[in-house]
Amino acid sequence: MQENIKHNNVQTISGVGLGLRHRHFQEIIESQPNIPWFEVHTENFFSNGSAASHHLHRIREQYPLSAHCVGMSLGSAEPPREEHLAQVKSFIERYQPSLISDHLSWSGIDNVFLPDLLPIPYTQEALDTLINNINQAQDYLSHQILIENPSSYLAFTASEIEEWDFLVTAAKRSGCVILLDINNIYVSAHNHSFDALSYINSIPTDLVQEIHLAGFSSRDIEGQTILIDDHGAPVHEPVWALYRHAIQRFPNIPTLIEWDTDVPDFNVLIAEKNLADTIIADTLKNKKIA
Amino acid sequence: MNTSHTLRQIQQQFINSAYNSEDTALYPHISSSPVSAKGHTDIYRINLIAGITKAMELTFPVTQQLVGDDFFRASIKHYLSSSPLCSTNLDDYGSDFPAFLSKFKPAQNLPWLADISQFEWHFHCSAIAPYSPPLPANALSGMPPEDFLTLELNLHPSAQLFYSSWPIMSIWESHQPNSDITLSDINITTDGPTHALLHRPNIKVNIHHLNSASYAFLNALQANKPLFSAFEIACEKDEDFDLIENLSTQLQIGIFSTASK
Repeated sequence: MQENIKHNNVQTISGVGLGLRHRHFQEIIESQPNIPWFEVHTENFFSNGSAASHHLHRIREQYPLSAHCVGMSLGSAEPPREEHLAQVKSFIERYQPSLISDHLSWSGIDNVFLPDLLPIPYTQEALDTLINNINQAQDYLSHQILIENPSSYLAFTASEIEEWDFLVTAAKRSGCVILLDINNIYVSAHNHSFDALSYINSIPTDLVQEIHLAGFSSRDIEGQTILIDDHGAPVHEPVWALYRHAIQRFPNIPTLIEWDTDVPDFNVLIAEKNLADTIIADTLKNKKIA
Repeated sequence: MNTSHTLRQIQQQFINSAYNSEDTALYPHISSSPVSAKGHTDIYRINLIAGITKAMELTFPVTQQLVGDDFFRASIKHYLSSSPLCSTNLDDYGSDFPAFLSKFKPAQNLPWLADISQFEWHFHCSAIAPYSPPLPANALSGMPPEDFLTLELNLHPSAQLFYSSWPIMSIWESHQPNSDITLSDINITTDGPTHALLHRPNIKVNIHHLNSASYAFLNALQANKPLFSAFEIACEKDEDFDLIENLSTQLQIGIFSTASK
C-alpha cells in the first residue's frame, strides 16, 4: 500500500514555527521576520488565482511551509472525496510543503458537511475505516501524512478503545505519523476526565513529527466548565507544563504556535514563539545537567 | 442505548442533530457526563453557526453592514436549514444566499438586498477564480477585417457580468472604506439600473460600469456567440455601438483570455 509514498524530509522544518494568517501576510512579506517555518490551512489556498495564493507564493520563496488540512474528513464512514484530494495534491505541487497533516476527525457524510473537526466513536469499525482512508489519502497524494489528535466536546457510548490507543494503532497500521497537539490533549483531558500526562506517555517516541500549541477558552454549560479549543488566546500555563514534559519525550520535533480566533498583532505571536524557544532551551539544558 | 449502530448511522445522526436542534436521535449514543447529551451537542451547533457566519461575513460584508449583525446572523440560521454545507471548502458556500434573501420575508422591506448579495457573490467568484494570463492588448492588431467578425473571444475566468434594476454599485461603493458617497446620496428608486463587469486580471478585483450595449455585447461573448453576433446584439441596444472602441478598451483592461477563429 505504501510503495509510492515519498517520505518527508523533516530536516527541512525545525524549531518553532507560526500559523500563517491573512492579516499578517503583508507584514511578513515586507519585514521577513526570523521565523524558521510557517503552517497554513491548505483549504484556504485551493484557488491558485486568489490574492491569498499570490501572497503565499511570495512567502514560500523565503520560508518552508507545512500544509495543515482541515477537510479530508478521514474519519468519515466513506472514502475521502477525490475532488478534495485533487485540490490538496495541486496545493502540494504548487507550494512543495515539507509536511502535510490532517486530523483524527470527520466533517461530513453523504455530501452534507459541518465546518468543524468532529469526534469519532472509538470503535473497531471506525478504526478500520480510518486506516483505509489514511491509506487512500497517502496513496493519492504520494506522501506520508501526519494525523493530529483532536479536541472534543462529546464522547460516544459505543467507544471501546482509548483515544491514544486508537491514534497510535491508526498510525502504525497506515504508516502515517502523528501531529501531537498538546493543547488538544489538555482540553480533551479536562472535558473527558482522563490524564493528560499518561496520554503523552502512551505515544511512541518515533511516531511524533510535529507538535502544536494554542490557547483555549472555557464555557459554563449546565454548571460545568467545558474547555473550548478556539485558538484565541496565549498558550495557558498548564499547557506549557505539559509541553515541557512532551519535549523531553519528543526532543527536536518542530513546534507550531496556532492562533485563529481574534488574531492579534504579529508581535504577540513572536512573543509566544520566543517563550517556546526559551522553554525548549531551559528544558533541554536541565535535562543535560540531570 | 443501541450499540449496534454503524459508524455511518451515527455520523448521519450527528449531522442531522447539528443542523436541527429538535432532532435528538443522536442523544442515546453520546455520554451524558459531565453535561447532558443536548449540552454536548449544542457546542457543535454553536460552532456550526459561528463557522458559517465567519465565512459569510467575508463573502457578504456589505449585506451584513446593511442589515446589521443580528439580522445577518438570524438570516444565516434560516439559510443553513435549507442549504446545508455540501463540501468542506467554505469558498463554495453561499451561491444561493441571494436567492434565499429574495424570498426571506423579514428582508422584504429591502427589495434590493438580494441584488447586493448577488453582486458580492460575483465579487467573491472573481476573487477566487483560477489564475490565467489575460489576452494581450495587441493580440488582435493587424488582423484582417474579414477574420474579425467570425472571431470568438472567450472571457477571462475571473470575468463576472452583473445586472440589476437597482443602483447596486452605488450602494456597494457607499459601504467601502473611505467612500466619497453615502447611502443618503443615492436615490434608490431612480438611480438604477446597474450594468457592471467584475474581473481580476492580476491580484485585485476590478469593477467597471458598463452601458447596456456593452453589457449585452460581453454577455453574448460569454454565451460563446461569435464577435459578429455579439456586435448585432449590442446594436439592438444602441445603434451607434462602437465595436472598435469597445474592443480596444476591453483588450486594454484584460478581460479576455483567448481568441479563436
